[in-house]
Amino acid sequence: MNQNQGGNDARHDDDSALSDFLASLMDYTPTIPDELVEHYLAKSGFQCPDVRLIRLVAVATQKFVAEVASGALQQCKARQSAVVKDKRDKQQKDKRLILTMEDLSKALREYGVNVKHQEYFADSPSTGMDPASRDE
Amino acid sequence: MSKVVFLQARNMESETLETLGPSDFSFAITKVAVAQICQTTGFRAAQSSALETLTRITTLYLQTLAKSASSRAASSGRTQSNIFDVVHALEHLSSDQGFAGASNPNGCLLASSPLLDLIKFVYSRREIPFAKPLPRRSNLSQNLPLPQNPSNSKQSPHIPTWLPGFPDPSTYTEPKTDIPSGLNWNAEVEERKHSGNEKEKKSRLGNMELPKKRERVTFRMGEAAEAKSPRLGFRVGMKNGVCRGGKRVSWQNHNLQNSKFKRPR
Repeated sequence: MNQNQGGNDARHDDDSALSDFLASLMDYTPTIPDELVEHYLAKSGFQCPDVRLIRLVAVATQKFVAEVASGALQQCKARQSAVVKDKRDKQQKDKRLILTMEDLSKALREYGVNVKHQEYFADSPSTGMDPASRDE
Repeated sequence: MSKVVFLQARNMESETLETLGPSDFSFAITKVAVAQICQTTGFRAAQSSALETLTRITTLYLQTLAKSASSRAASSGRTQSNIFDVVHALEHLSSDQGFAGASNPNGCLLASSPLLDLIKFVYSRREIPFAKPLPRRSNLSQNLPLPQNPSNSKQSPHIPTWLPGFPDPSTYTEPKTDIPSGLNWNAEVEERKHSGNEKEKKSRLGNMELPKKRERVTFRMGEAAEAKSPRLGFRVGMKNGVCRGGKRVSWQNHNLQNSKFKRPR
């Protein structure tokens, strides 16, 4: 009996925690606006009259993007700390943390997303070749 | 490799937003939201290609969550998703990274760790409301009301009213016919009598509908055509019973008779 009651209490706690959370979601404004989320949900066939679930999906996406961005930030900082020579250089670079494709692809690889990126685009087949060997 | 400062993304002119198409419009809004999230994470600027890639992945993540939740609801026999479907979808998408309790299939869904992590995330973060005011969509939705089909709601309450109505029943209910199935070259086709009235036919043809009882079409293979007053038929150029080379089909004014399939010897 005690075990069952303990189990029920745990479930009640989960339920109450979740209902509190969903209620607080209505106060929290996710960065991704509701109309945009509804547009993508409708595009994918997700039907739900409950607004709290839409907020939940929006917040989940925001969390995902934040995690990817923080992973890319760590990659960026790791690269900078490896390159640093002077203290002045490091302080200058800290102010200009830039999201690059390299950091993004490394961060996304943890999530199973493979992003390949062209290193550069050449204007013609003979770009970068020795001027002596180029056909004139 | 041009750098895009986030302030520029936020100060995007509203005019440029309005001139975009619907898919580009949603993409542009998502890009602004993603740029805001990156800025709060600590970035000061981003390469435009990196920002676009991240935006694309965000839209794909949203859609994958929604599709996974809706398919789970559909497989349970429901049209509308609930919290359990969403939590399942969250777990499904977090299974790549792994989460605590992934190996336990009997765990309570409401206590699953992706959901708990999400709760912690919400409580720990400050709100970041969207930067640009979105143009009001309510006017558009009022101008284009969804066509409601009253016939659907009366006869079939399980069908949503926004689906197009059923066609006229006379178009798909037919008297029993015995049309030979497929291209059965060896089948004997019997002549059917035309029983419909002339007026009926005309009215139906006037309505651009096919008459239910149509003339039968025979296919006769072989070079030697029967000279017995044929009524309606096609001829396919053949040699020794095999269609070779020139596949010319000629329309002959053949009569529909007991036209047996004959092979040239």
